[in-house]
Amino acid sequence: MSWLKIENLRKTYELENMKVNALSGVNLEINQGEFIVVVGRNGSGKTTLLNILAGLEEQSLGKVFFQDNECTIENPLSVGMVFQEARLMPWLSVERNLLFPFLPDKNFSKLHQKTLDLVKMLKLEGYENAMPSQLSSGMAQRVALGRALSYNPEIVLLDEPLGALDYFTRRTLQLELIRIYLKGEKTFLMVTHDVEEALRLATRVIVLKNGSIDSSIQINMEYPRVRNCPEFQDLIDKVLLALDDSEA
Amino acid sequence: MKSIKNSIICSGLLVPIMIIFIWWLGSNAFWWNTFLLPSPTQTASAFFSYLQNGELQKHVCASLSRIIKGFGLSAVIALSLALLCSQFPALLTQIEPTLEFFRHIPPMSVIPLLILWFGIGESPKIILIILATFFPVFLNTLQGIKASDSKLTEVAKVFGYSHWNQFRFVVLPEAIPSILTGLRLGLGYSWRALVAAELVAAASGLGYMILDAEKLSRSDVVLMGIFVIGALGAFIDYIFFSFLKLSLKKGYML
Repeated sequence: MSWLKIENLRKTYELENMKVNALSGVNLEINQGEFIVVVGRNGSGKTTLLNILAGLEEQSLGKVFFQDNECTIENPLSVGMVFQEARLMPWLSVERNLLFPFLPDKNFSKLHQKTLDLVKMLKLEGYENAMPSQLSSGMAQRVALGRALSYNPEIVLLDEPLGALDYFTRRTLQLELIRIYLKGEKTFLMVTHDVEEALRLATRVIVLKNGSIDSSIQINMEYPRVRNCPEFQDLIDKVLLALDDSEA
Repeated sequence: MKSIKNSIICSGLLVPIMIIFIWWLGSNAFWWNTFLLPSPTQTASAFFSYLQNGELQKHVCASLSRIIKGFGLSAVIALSLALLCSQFPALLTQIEPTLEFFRHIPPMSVIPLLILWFGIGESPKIILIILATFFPVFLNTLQGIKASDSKLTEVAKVFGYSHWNQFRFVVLPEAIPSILTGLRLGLGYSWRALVAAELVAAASGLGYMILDAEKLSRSDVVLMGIFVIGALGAFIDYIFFSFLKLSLKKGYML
């Protein structure tokens, strides 16, 4: 039994009498507790894949199964998602943004302890009452990550969450992600076009090319990973080779 | 002394103080005929004499009651219709041309018809306020809802928000600044419409008080009436929006 199974997932967009295949038959099995990073060039279908899993778009064909139960609009997969931009609600404080998934709940006011735990885990102490406009991009992205985790989803989807950050903030947040992942409570599915980032974080790298999976590379290195070791360099070469269109 | 000077500059009182000073100086130096533009002291004494004999309170109460009824009704109708139109675009398609037609008609131009239909009682004045204030509230609310960021709605969708909850917790709070702008504009327009209506057909209210003073050649009372309208408008705007902001911060916005 697969934990999460994506079967022959296809997505076609119609643009002025022209059909564009964003996904042309993606088959993927994900085990609980994996950190999967999907890499691919622009337009390879990475974000479309995440959007379908998050229920933001509907697939043209194919199915998604969670523990052998088909995920549909009525029975969606429980996900937490972090986007490239933090997408915090500008009128809500950090605390309220962290608890955004629970705003419609009647027991919302009883979740204070949950906020305290999240604030501590994300090192946001002292910023609970700050407004999003008062946060740096890195901090805002941490809040967005906390919001996704607060929901306690089956899987956390990360859509190039560090793409808009500077090198140093990016490195810090990569380490944060590893720290949270190593707690062993969550399964992550991230997309990025940064090969080095993928190799620093992933337990498995999936190379997506022209809407379908080209290769799946298992990464067995210990965290934290440093790029100047030969094994890391070999993996970079391997992924880049898989991404290179001229090889096809 | 320095702190008084700073607080006058910071609170924006500098310009009004300068205007009153020049007005006082000009009146005392007879730069103009004080029958046409009475001095600040004449205007102030008209204010206190009207206050003392209760005339001012009577007219202010009459005008305020019309504003509360007219603007209140208008805000309820405009907000409800804008919310409905945002949820049912087909409704907007149907009523948009009609609304566009009425939007371009100056409310004052329908006063003769309103008097013909409803007499010179309260109804024409309240209808006039509704006509004058409906569009700023309706259009700003609709615009605020339409301009909501789809990226934020996507976040709510990911976390399983129902369509209603997406509207309540994302679209509506995002539209609040636009809605407040509409209400603020509407409130300003309601004063203009009211005074215009009271100038034409009324037996009480600040507009009537000004018209009556004009007939009696009391330019000091006319001027005093204008000041009272301005000050009252600004005061209500301040109180209304301070209260609204506070309640939004404390309650609705979570």
